[in-house]
Amino acid sequence: MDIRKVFINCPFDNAYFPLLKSILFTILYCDKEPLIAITNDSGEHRLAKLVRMMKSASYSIHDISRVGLSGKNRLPRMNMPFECGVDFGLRYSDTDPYHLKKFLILDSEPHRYKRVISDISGHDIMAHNDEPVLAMKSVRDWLKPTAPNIPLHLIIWDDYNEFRLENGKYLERIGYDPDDMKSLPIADLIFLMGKWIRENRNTVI
Amino acid sequence: LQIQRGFCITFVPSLLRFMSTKILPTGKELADGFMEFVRTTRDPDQVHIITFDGRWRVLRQGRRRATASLETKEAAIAVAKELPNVSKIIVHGRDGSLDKEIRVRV
Repeated sequence: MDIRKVFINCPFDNAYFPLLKSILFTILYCDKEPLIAITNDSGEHRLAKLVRMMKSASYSIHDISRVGLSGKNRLPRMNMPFECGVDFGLRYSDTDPYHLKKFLILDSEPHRYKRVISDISGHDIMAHNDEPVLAMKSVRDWLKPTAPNIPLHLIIWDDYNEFRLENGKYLERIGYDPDDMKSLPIADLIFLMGKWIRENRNTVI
Repeated sequence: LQIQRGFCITFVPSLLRFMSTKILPTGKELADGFMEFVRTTRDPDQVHIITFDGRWRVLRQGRRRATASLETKEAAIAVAKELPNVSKIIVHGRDGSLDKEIRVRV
């Protein structure tokens, strides 16, 4: 288990993409490495891949904001709570070192989780109201104890705005759609973010 | 003849599609291109208008501290226009993306 790695369990769609981008940027800004299921296309069975990532990360972020009914069939999206449950199972398996894993649960509204998955009470549960800046603040505040030099989320937000501008213009120029999650591979987006942060961040984390 | 026709119907369009596909850069090539793009296009005379905590901040390119923090976007744009040596005002959306770009006559 690596204290630099953060596993992310979240929806993969264009509506959630702005939130995911701000979360990824914050994790990289805090000098951590995000692990996300779609970054590794090795052909490995999806659940096996997820468990391997969960086992390798000391930190996990589970976003349950899209658990409600969705799509034309009005069916619930079960992947996020299922993966959250698998990770909690690992955490409470009394197996060393997984009992040290730390979780951040993100939801769209404060206290909504009490109506859908109240068993997770007692963990760090934050509401982002579907606002990228609030998702950023939640992740930054949660990671703060791991690195005392992490700047205020205001500073990270300013840098993120600049990155979005430059990254959006660059991707459009070379033929990618910056707002389409399926356009540029997430692994490449993470690589670009990391490179930009290393060259522009003033603080040593 | 039918086999040849079938081959042309299925194979030729796929081949043309494949030939017209643009090969986009990925990985290191993409990142190097991005940093080069940032170095060559970043304008020190541009000002960002960024929304934060219900207010609109006016931030000069490369500065850590906002010049002003105002209640409305329009007020922030007006303040930015009055600043010396401003060539461009970048207004960001709530998700950080580019909302609009205003060119200012110096």
